[in-house]
Amino acid sequence: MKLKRVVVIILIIAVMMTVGSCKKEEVKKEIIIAEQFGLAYAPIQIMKEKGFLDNRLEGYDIKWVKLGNTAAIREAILADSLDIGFLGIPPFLIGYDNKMDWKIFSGLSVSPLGLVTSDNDIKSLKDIKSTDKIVVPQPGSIQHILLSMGAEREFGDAGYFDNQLLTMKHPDGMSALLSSDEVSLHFTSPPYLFQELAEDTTSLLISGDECFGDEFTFIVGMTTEKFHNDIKAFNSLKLAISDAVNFINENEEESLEILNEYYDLDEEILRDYVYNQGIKYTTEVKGLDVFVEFMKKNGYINSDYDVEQLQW
Amino acid sequence: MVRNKSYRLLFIIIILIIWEVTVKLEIYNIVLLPSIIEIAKEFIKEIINGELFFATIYTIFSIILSLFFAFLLSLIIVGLSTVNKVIDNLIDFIISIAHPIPGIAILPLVIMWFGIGQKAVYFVVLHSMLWPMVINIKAEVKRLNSKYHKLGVVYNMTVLSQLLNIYLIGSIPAIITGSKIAWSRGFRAFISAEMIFGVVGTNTGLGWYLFEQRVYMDSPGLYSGLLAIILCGIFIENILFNKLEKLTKFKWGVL
Repeated sequence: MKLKRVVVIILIIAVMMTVGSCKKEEVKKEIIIAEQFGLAYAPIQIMKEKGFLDNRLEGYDIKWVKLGNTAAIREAILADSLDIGFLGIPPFLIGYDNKMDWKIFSGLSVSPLGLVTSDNDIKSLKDIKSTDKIVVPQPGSIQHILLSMGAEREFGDAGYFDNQLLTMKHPDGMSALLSSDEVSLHFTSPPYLFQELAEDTTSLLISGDECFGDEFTFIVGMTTEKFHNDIKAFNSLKLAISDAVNFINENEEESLEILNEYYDLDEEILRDYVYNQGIKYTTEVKGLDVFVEFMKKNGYINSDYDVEQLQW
Repeated sequence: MVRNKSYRLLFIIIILIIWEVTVKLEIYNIVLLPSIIEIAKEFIKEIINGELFFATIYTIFSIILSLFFAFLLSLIIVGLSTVNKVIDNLIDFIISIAHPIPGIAILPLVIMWFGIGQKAVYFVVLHSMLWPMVINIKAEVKRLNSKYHKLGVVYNMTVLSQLLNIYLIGSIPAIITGSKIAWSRGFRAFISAEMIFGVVGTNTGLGWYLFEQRVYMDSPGLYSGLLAIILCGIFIENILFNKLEKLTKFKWGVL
């Protein structure tokens, strides 16, 4: 009797698993885009507010979602509840290396990043003691990879700082850096980078460009093979992004008006951050090959990839 | 018992078969559902290269350490509660406030007080373990007091002898039950605390291990970490503590 019950339960589970998977194959004209917070993502907010994508795609239902971090973006794409995401190159490569069928469709921005310190005794990477903690958003993030690149340059060992990382979201990291004695190093990106450096007590220890050795694309946009196969939607997306990038570069006043809604910053400060501190909005993708080479060499990814193969 | 066990085994085997068939049919992305062989390989690899092994050992060690301190603290608290009625009442009141708070809920406060690091994690774990321990021992001591207090008086036992022979020995079953509950709560709290705010140091436990597998998208690693947690749970909660409980019941009788 009991055996029968067990078999029945297992059959139910099996049926549920197959039904669950069938549902995903339904064709839907819904596009889900992850919207992130940070000045390097500004063209996405312009695209959303100006309706650059909506205007081109009538009949599609475009949904915007907010996700906490890059791991969440990957998981949402895997679970088929996200079509388009924007993130740094390293987390994208980790996903691609783990057989996710997604590729880059456009660059979004080049941006200053950097390791900020609140400890006056620390003047270079060499002054960092093994007991000092370094805050990064998460292991495998672009901030962590840049730190590793800096460590490799300085000490010949990419994993030099790996035992002293502390994982925090940017705003938490900023308040930890500015308020506590325990944290004196934070690898971050704008607007947090600019806000931290505006304080008298802090200084920039090493910039992202110095770690990398050149200028590189910070944020890229990626999408799945499924979305790429919908040629109309895919082309509209590419056009919409380049429209947004052009718009932010050409219409300073209107862009700032839109961004003002999103970023809780004084208008003049926002203007300074967006236009005068080194953030560049461009659809070009730079430095992909260097990231692949570095991450392959240090075991963050398993295989070598061609730059062509990583882009739609 | 034997029949139960064979049904369980059968159940596991059938689940594994369904799992492997689902993988082979490629219904789900391989990242979501890696094959069992892949997971087993990863599990063995991570045990041998030490990463998962040390994370597990470190987790168990941390909880044993916290258990020890929780035990000492609860002896002090229970001792205090026997001094007089007012203190006893007050301690009951504190227990009723503190016991229901999940360890993770006080984490933000603990971070502000103790900073980010091992100390904060230990505090959360200690909080999770202390109260169940106190409740168990306190109830037992109360019961022993009403039942055997006169015995001590009649036999003219010294206070020390009373403490040792009546209260300590008498409450061993309660201590074991308390430890068992404290262990399961502490184990969960430790893993959650490590996952929620990643502290990397030279020593890290299973919570951080899982977190790391997640950010590097290593699904076989993620499943291996879960497997380690399940095995730990089964071994310690079901086998070790149940054996201990049975042993004491055999020796002291069902109290």
